[in-house]
Amino acid sequence: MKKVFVNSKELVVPGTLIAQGPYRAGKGTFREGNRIYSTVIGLVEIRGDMIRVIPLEGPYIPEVGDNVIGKIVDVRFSNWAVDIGAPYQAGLRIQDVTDERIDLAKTDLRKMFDIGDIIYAKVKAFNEVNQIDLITKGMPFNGGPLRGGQIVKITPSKVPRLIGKGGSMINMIKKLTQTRIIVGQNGWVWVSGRKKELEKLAIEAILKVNRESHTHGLTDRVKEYLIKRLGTLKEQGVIENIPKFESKGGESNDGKA
Amino acid sequence: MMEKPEELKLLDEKGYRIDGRKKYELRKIDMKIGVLKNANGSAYVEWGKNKILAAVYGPREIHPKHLQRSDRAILRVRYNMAPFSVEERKKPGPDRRSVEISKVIRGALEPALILELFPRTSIDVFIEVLQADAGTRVAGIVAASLALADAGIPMKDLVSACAAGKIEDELVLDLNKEEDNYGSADVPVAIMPIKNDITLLQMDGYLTKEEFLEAVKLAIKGAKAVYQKQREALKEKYLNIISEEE
Amino acid sequence: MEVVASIMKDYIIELLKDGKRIDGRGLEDYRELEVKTNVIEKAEGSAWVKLGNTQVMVGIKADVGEPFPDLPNMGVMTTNVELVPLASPTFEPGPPDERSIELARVVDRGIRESQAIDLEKLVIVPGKLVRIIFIDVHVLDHDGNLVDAAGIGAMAALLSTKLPKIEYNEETGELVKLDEYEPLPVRKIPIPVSFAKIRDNLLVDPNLEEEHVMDGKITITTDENGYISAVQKSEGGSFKLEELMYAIDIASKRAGEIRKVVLDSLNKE
Repeated sequence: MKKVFVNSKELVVPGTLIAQGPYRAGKGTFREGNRIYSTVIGLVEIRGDMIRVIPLEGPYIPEVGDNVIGKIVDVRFSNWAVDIGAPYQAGLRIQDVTDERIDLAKTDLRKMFDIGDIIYAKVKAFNEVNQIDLITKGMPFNGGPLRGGQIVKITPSKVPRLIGKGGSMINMIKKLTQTRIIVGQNGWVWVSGRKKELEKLAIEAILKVNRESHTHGLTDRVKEYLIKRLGTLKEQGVIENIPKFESKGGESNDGKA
Repeated sequence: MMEKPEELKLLDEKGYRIDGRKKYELRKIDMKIGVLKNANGSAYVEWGKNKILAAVYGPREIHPKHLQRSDRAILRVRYNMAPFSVEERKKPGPDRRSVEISKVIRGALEPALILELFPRTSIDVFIEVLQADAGTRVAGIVAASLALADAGIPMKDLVSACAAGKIEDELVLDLNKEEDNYGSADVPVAIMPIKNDITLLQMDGYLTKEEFLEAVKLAIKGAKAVYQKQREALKEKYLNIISEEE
Repeated sequence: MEVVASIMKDYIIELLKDGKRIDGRGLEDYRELEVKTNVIEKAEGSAWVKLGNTQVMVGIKADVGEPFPDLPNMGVMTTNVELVPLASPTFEPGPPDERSIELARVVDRGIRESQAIDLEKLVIVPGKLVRIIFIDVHVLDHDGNLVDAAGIGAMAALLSTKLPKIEYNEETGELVKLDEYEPLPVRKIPIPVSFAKIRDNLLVDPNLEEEHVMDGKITITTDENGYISAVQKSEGGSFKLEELMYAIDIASKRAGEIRKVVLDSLNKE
């Protein structure tokens, strides 16, 4: 008997019966007999016979190729330990930072990345013993360290929503707040603006997306919100004018959480 | 249990309890999800006069390393009562009761978690009893289960819990403090409702086998009612956001 | 350790499919039980229990002190369990850990809630002076099911306990211990019986290897009147209502047999 008990995109909690019959239990679900249940709070996604739940909360589980933002937490003889918000600490080896031959005996690695530095890196490997290797070679700005700005953390599963279709959401926030923003797939977002007020506004917008990722018409609401707040900043004399931003097409159901 | 003052009647002629409830009625329960900034997940539960906060940290790497399990995460639970949570100040820190309760709560939550997903890590559950009025371990389990869901830790089911007990020769649901003090049995039960799996079961008291089984069934019914509230509370966190915006 | 455990788990589960256990017992069979009482002369009561290869010693010491303020007309009993390092490589020296605390509290509840000891008879001066009974369980060799061994030992030791009579001189306020002895007033014999759950099987009286691979555990303490005075689901795993009903039934049967062994040990003195 093939049956689905919830709608696509419906909000479910752990233990919610989603379907029974010959479906495949994807991420965020588990199978018990011929029934499939949710294991997390999230939105149901049914594609063909594959059932998944896109979590609204939860830890960052790295995948090879992810671009992440991390913080150096330890400097060792030939590598760095990096916190990327995953259950496991990541490692960054010297040969994944530079092609130059480095004499480790004479080089102070802290001159390259010091404890507390924020870096932009790619997940190079994530193996079965849960060792995470990063690489910064070939990344924009050679991986950093990113100077100034602030880090804001969102739920990793909401990153696609923050980016939006073809970058629509994040580009709008950047443009309207005139800030530089780098979004890591681990949910860490680096925000840097010339004015603290604009930096703060960008962060507020990012957190709004994080909070309301499961709602409809979010891009329009975030735009409205930003324009309203920019208006206030203009009255206060913080900015001279509000940048123009035209979103392409009337998207009301952009991206996914 | 204490000696009951003779004039104290826990059930009146009409079958009402001292707080006005009927025999099989739960106390008022309120749940809030995501109440702490630092924790990965959190929940606050008010259950009658019980006020209980639960927080979850992890999955995170464990130190010292010898505690790591190469095939799964370990679950650690600390149940703690605030010194001001009871009539007479409780000495801070774990006493024997808290140590036992922490252990049985861990056993109640563990079957619901898919610990194999996070080898070498720990998932830490902290339960703080801010005010106690009987039934803190079941309320603690309910809060902890919500906090785990809020942290996005994959679970096969929410764990729900409730206690039943015996007062004035009658089985009743969800004892309050006076009933617990002067009653003759307390049976806390936790379940995973999808499959009717009992994950916590204790008894403190003296009952016939039949009475005991009746008490367990009654507590299971109570836990199922609490389960519905848990599901609603979790959804509410997100549905509220929608309604605020529209 | 983990690898051994997983091989052992497969083996134990394989055997269980045919209703068999690694030591040849059936699922409902208790291990051989030996009980000796009055084994420590300096204690007011004592018992040695050998359950399979698990051994525990229980001593009862009596003292005089103040009652609890909320129970002025009752003597005091307290239960303590020491998991001493000579009994197992997994026991560490130091303050009681969660295992020993849980063990002691489950044994204590079984005795206390059935009112096995008539605590009212232990009052010397109401509200001021009562006897305090210390039940101290010393685990000597751990081969599984410590709860049952400790609970059985505690009851045997309590039944063997003789207290010196005490005279209280109201004028001087002095206590005089007489050379006459009276038995501790024990009214019931609650006996804990434990089960390990492995997959869908319930195994009574698990040995250590079975405990290593079990999902969860349940202990049910019953007395001779068929009442239950303590229940404890322990460790992980879960139980169905039907399994609970089955366990209660088996627990009270095994408790009846164990009670006989305990009573025989007293007659052998």
